[in-house]
Amino acid sequence: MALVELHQLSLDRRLKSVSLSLHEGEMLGLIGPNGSGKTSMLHCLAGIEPYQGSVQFLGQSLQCFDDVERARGIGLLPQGCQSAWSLSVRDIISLGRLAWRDENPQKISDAAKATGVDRWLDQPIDKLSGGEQLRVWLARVLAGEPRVLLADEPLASLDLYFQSSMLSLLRHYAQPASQTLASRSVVVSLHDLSMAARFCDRLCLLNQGEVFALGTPAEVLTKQNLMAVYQVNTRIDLLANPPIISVLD
Amino acid sequence: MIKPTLLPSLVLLLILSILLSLSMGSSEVSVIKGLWEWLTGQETLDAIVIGDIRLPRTLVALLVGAALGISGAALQGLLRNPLADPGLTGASQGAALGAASVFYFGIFPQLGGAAPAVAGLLGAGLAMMLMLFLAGSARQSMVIMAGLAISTVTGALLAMALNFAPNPYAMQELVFWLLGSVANRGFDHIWILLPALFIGGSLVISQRRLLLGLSLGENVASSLGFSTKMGSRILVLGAAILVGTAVSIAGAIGFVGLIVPHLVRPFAKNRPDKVLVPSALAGAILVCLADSLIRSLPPGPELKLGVLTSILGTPLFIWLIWRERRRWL
Repeated sequence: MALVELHQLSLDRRLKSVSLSLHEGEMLGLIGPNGSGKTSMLHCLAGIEPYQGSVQFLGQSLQCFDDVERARGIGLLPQGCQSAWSLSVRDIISLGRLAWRDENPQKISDAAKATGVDRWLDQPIDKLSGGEQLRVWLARVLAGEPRVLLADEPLASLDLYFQSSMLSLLRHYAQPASQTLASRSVVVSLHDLSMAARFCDRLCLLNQGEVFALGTPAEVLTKQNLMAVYQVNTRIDLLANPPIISVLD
Repeated sequence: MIKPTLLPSLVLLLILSILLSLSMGSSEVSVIKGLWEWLTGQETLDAIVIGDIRLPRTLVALLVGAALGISGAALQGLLRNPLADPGLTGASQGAALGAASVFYFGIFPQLGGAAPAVAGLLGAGLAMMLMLFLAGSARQSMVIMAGLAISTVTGALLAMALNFAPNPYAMQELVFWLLGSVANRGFDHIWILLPALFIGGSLVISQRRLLLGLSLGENVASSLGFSTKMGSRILVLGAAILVGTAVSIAGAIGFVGLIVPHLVRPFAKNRPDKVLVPSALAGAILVCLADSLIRSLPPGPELKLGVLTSILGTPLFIWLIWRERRRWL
C-alpha cells in the first residue's frame, strides 16, 4: 500500500507536475542538482508549503488533516537546523513530542539512544559539534514517531562514519524489526549518489522541478541520465560493494 | 523541567519588595498595621498612608513591571532574538502619542484621570493594527521593519505635538509623563492595568508551545503542527495590549522588557515557554524595587522611573550586545 501519493504536484516554478507514490517500508532517495526542487518537494510533503495538485496521505488528501494530526504522521528534518536558544539536548528532543502534547520520557530516551546522543542529554545544544547537533535534530524527529520521515540533506557536516550510520538508522526506521509497529517510510534528499545507491530502495531523480527518472538505483543511475541532468561523464559500478559512482574528467 | 526553586524564590522576593515599597516614604508608619486597618475599613493615619497613597503606587509598579516583563519574554521568543524589546512593535510610541493627544486636545474629558490611559491603549492598539497591516504575514523580520516604521511615524507626530505645544506647562507635563513614573497613580489605573495584564498575559501564555517550537525556526514549528501565522498574530496582539496599557499608564519605562527575560532565562533552562511567568514576576520585582529606590533618594525634584531604568539598563544592554557579538565571531 502507498503511504503517500503525489499527483500532479506543482509549486510555482519550483515543481512541475510531480507524480509518485511512496510505499510502506520504503526508503526513497531524492537526488538531483542544486535547485532541482528536492527541498520544495519535502516541504510540500510536510504540509508547510502551499501547492497545486494533490498529496494523499494514508489515502486521504493532506489538506483534510488538521495541522496537529498531520504533524503526528509526517516528521520533517529540515536542512541547516539551528536553535535560537541554548536549550538542553533533552529539551530539543522533547520538541518532537509537541504534536503529541506530552514529553514522554521513554520515547525521548529511546530516540536519544537510537542516534547515540544519550550521553549528552543534559548538555546545552550549542556546546556540541555540528555533526553531534545533526544527530540531536534527527532524534527530535524520531521522538515523534512519524509514519513518514522526511530528511533534507541529512549528511551535510557528518563524517564518513556517521554518514553511513545516519543512513542505516533511517533505513532501519523505514523497516523496524518489530512487527507490532505501524508501517513507516522515509524520504531522504541526498547529494552523494553512491550512498543513495547503497541505502535507498528507489531513487527519484529531479531536474528543474520535474521527475527525470524514478525507479530502482540501477534504473535511475545510468550514464545517460547523469549526463543529461548533471552534465558530467561518470563511471558507474552498482554491483561493487559499496556501489561506485565517480565523475570522469 | 525548570529549577523547582525559581517560582517560589520569585514569589518570596516579590513579597519582600512589596513590603519594602510600602515602608518607603516620608512619614513613619507601620506597614502591617496600616494595611490591616485599611483592609478593615478604619480611617486611621496609617491606613490612609499605606492604603490610599503607597499601595496604589506599589500595585501600579508591580502590574506595569509584570506587563513589560512578560511581553518582552514573548516578543524575544517570537522573534527568536534576545535583543528584541516591546518597544519594537510600535506599541510604546503609539501609546505615548495617544496619551499626548489627551494633554493637547483634552479628549475624553469625562474619564478624568484615566483619560490618558484609555487614549494610550487606543493609540497602542491603532499602532499595532497598522504595524500588522504593514507587516502582512507577522514574520519576524517584517514585524521588526514594520514596527520601526510605525514607531518612527508616531515618534515624529509626538515631536510635532511638542513643537506646537500650546503652552510651556502642557509641554512640561507631557515630557515628564513621557519620562515614565508610577507616582500619583490611583485605583482607577489599577482597574485598567489588571484586566489588560490578564487578557494580554493569557493570550501570550496560550501560545507558549508555539514559542518553544519556534526555537528551531519557522519550518520546524510549522512541521510540528503549529499555525505560525495565527500564533504570531495572537502573540503580537497580547504584547500590544500589555505594552500599550503599561506605557499609557506609567509612560515609557525602558529596558525592563529587554533585560528581565535575560535575567530569568538561565534559571528556566533557556526555554522560551518557561520564561514567561517568571519574567512577569521578575519584571514586577524590578520595577517595584526601582521605584522604592527612587523614593529613598533625598527630597528634591523626583528622579523619574523611566530615567532610572534606562540608566541602569543601558550598561546591561551594551553588555548583551557585546556577548552576542562574541557569539557570532
